[in-house]
Amino acid sequence: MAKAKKAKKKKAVIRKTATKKLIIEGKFTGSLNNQVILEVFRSNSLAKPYDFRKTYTANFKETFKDLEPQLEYDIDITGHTVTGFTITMSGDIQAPNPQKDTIASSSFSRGYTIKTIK
Amino acid sequence: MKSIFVCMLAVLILSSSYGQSDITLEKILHTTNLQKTANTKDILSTLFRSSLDNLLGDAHSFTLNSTFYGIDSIFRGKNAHTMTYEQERKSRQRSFDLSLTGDSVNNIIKFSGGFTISLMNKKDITLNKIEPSDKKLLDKAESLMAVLFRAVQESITQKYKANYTGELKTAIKKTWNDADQYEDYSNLHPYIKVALSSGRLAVLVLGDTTNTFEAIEIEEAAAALLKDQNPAKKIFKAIGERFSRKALWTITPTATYDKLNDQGEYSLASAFTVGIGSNLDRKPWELEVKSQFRISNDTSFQTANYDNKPFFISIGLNKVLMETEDKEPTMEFKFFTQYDHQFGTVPTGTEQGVFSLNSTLRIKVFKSLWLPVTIKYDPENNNFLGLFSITAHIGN
Repeated sequence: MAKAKKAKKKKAVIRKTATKKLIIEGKFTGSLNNQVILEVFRSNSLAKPYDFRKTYTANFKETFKDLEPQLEYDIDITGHTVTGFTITMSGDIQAPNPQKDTIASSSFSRGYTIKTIK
Repeated sequence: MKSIFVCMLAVLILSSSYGQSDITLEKILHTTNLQKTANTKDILSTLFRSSLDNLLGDAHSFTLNSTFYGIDSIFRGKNAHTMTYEQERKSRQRSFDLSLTGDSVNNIIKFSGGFTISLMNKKDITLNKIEPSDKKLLDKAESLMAVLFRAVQESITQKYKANYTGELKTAIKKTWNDADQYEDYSNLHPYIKVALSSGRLAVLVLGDTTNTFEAIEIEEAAAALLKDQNPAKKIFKAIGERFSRKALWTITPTATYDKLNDQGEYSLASAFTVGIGSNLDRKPWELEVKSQFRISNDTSFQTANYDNKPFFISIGLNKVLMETEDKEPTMEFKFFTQYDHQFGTVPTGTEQGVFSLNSTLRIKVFKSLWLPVTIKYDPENNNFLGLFSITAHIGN
């Protein structure tokens, strides 16, 4: 019984360490008239699909702890800012790490790809 | 002393280049200021404004205006905390004004310092919330773009599964990002172009249970991108232009040291401007009302005195004659009538009140460098007077 419990715990630890972390930070230069739709996804036509979508109107920091190792994920941002917006992607991802982009005042739609590490 | 003004001219020209090339400032304020007229920026600077006025006359002056936000942006560290709304509002609504006046041989004869405070500033999109109806429209257009882009990627993934990965995927996405940044969709990767024109996008979107768009909306948005038009960007620009046509009212108290007469001079000025008409397809018209009251030395007396008390009020219309595709003005013409009244001692042989007809032609000659030429006409005495200046709106 104790042996089975130990094995289960070990399995859980392995699973925990196997998943990879992605941190996405969005910063607006100004405080008014900002909006961004963040999408983190992996196509349904591929193995281990993933789907996240959320809308923000101010600075945000989103942490994903359930990404699979050595897989590509798409990160799309669509929205507007009347000042400026900077997105930073970091965590257990392959180079470039962190991946960063700055967008000037506009209505924007950008896409990035990250690949998690082993 | 002449060298001082020559140096200032050089600084002004160099700074005008800096204003456009400095990436941080450009990114912060690009769209916000793009559509504001030079006439408006003369009233309240967006970041910095420098000018050499009356270049061909006897008394030249060099003026530097900077909003507190502009000063802060120079000394602010990269990792400084984001300003609160209230801090930002205050720092953008006030500018610090410095001016030097030289005589015909460029000896500096006056130093001035003052503030411009906006009592009403509805032009600044960074300070005023977008109208709910406009925001709803923009949000919908952006949601559509998000859905469309996702569908484009899904379509490519389904078609090229094994190949759409790694460097190729990054390169394809880069063409989308570049198209978005430069608003030029002609260089989109062929995979994206094929996806946009395939007609499969609507099928993919409609297959999503959370979708709220109709097939025709997806198809129209895809067709628009292929024609180099982004519906969301179009709405965003229209909102920006509506803001640029709203009202601005400032007051400017100024204190001057008159070196020749060793005494002070004081003035209070007011400027109001508002766009006329709501048709965004037409180049903008602006109504402008300005006034100023000044107390200074009456030079007909040898001693220090405050007998010169001129007041003026002017009403005029400013019209954008030429603009870029992004609606950034490049040539403006202003016609205005002005009434000057002397509340102090009126010298013999001069009128207490004078009406004049005036016009100013502003031409953008290089990046953020403008050449405003003002012609004043006094109909009673049939006098013409020309004023030639050079102005740089730094940081756009």
